[in-house]
Amino acid sequence: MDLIIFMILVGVGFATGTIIERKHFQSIRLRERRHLNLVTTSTKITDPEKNISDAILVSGSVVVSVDYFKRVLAALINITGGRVAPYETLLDRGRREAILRMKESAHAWGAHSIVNMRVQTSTIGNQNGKNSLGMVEVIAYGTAVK
Amino acid sequence: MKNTIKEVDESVNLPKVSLLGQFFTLMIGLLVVIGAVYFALGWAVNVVVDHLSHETYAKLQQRVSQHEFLPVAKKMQQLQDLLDELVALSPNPDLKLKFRVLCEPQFNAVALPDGSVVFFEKLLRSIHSENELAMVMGHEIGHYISRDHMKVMGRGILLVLFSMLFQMEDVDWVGPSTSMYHAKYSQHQETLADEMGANLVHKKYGHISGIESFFRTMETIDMDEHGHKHPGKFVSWFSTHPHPQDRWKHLKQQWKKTEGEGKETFLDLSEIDLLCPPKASSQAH
Repeated sequence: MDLIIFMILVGVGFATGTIIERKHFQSIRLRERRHLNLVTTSTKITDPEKNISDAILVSGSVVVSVDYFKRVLAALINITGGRVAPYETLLDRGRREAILRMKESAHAWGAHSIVNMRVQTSTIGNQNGKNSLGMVEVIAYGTAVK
Repeated sequence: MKNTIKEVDESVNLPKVSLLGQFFTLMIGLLVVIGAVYFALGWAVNVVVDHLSHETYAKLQQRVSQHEFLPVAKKMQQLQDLLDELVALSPNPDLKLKFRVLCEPQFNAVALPDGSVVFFEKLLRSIHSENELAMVMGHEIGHYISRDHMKVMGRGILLVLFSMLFQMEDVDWVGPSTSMYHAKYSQHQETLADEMGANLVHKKYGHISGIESFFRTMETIDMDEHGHKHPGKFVSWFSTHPHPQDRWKHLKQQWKKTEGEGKETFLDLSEIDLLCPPKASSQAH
């Protein structure tokens, strides 16, 4: 019985996780293209050709979780070692989504660029337990100038 | 400084492997490794149990005996005496075994690690003579002498160790051992136990009459009212035991020269009605 429940959870996790992830990536690509011209750098130097009249702190944060299938796969990779591919997509989605939210915030304010951008991550939930890497928070922040 | 506008390069961070393919590869690999380790350890348990000295084995048996595996099973002094008599005739007369009855509608008998030879009610009610009973008792004594019950328990403990390794909770080590009436011995172990049973019957009565009728009873219980076989319905004895006809054929070949037809001894099993009231048992059916 436990095995059947496990298989159902893995199957449902795989199906829903794949659909949600595919849709999220589509949305990310579309919005990234839309904000491509908003210059975003990790340096403190601004474009000397552009005058700066104002600056504010902008940030974007996101909390994403893996599905059950990816969690099981990551646990299996934990035994053998190697590249943990299921978490790589999770973190990539998280980073890009957080940067996009930050950009959208800056764009709404009317910024022409963001400087000194930083990205940080932290796990959410029981960090000592076996499900410690289930959810991750990614925050991106920088100085928007116009 | 020039700032080049460029789309995110997904080939850098995103994995190119198929996650589903990776999942199945790892799952199959893990199952193969677990299977290999399980069989290797199971084999190791067999070797270790076979090579334990009598003293060490007695200590182990004593320790295991402290746990009562089937507390609901009932004593039956009349048949305890018969069991003691057969043990005295066996190659290990120092064996301490307890005869117990379990009021359950199963045609089965088991040898538990605590030294209990447990007969299920249905089997006991199907017995026609003392000789038939002695055959089953001798069969179980054969399992004790080959230390089969301890080997099966060893595998049970290994199973629990595996489940602990993979953090499956709520598993206790006694659990698998208490359900030892589902224990599976190999056909080779069963054949050796049969030989021991027939040997003890011959030693006690001077012939092996009664054994054939017992195997016939086993066959009829495996059939429905139309004489058709119930595949899978009757699993307790037949799942790992060779077919009753083959078992009898094998024993007949073994005892061809020495066997003589003899009279079967009558067995009064009326005491069983006191232990397992017929009304309750018919309801259970």
